[in-house]
Amino acid sequence: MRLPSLSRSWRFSDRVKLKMIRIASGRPPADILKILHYRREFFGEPFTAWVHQVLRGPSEWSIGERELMATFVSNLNECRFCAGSHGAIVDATLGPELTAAVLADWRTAPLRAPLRAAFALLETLTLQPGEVGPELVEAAYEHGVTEQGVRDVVHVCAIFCTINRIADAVDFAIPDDKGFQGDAYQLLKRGYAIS
Amino acid sequence: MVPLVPDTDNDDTAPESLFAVLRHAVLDGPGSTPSRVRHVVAHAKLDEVSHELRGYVDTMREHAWRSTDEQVRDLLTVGWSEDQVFELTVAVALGAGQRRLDAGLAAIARAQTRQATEPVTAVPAQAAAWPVAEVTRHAAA
Repeated sequence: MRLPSLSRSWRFSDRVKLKMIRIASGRPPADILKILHYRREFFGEPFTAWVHQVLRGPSEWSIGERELMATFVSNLNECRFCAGSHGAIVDATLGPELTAAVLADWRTAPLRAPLRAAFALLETLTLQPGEVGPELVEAAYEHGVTEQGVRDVVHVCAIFCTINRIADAVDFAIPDDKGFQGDAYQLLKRGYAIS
Repeated sequence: MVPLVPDTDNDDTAPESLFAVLRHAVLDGPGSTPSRVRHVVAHAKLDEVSHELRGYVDTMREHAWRSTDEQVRDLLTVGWSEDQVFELTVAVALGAGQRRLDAGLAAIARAQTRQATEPVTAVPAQAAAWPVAEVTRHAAA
């Protein structure tokens, strides 16, 4: 990690918590956890409250589908850490074949029509936010996506366009497959909020 | 710009409200860099960004995967602390996220305006019959 002091300055209760994670998992906590607990009021707490609500709160999109969106955006942003982390959750929920198919070409991947419309919006919003017009939203509506469903898609995109940049700027270590799978299990079981 | 809290002023669990809380904490909350600087980098006002920060902000905003050890080391060398670099990094990233949020919500608002002013086209009947998404193995555990 490029800012090593972020790994040393946690409140006492968080030091204990991260130590317990290290003991339970048998490996150091992921760099994302170190960042989220560093001055947690500044970023970690409000960020994870937003993430938890969007990725685990009520939605017309399943948890697996929202994680697939997260993986897709992270892959577009070339963030290996986030694409691997959330891809492991998709592997565990929707299956690794779907993850691979979407990352290869979402247009030909076996997606239901509303989800395909969501990916069209996600792609433009991630890569060319200035080019997003009402047509992409209306296309989603035509496939049965509600306005709240489109809002959820927009929030997933915003979340990962934020955290992908932090992960790459700070240079999070990339876990091996077993590490990603272990983190995926915890994120499915416990969600994202740290407070 | 589309209001970040359009219809949810009384719902502090709405994603728009939660984003507003995050934005306030990152850009206006206590920090080791002045709030004004965090706002400037979040909105990528490169003309107002100091010379040594400009390249870092631009890389972060447009292609963060290309950021390098040297870029961070250079900032530390000229006197920014790790805590300050962290704050600025988060602020730039949040600005990139907000850019997508604003663009997406604006597109929703424009679609609403068009719906209100143009003839309504019927939603295909099958749209209402799309299956509810699958249940995850772990989520059920």
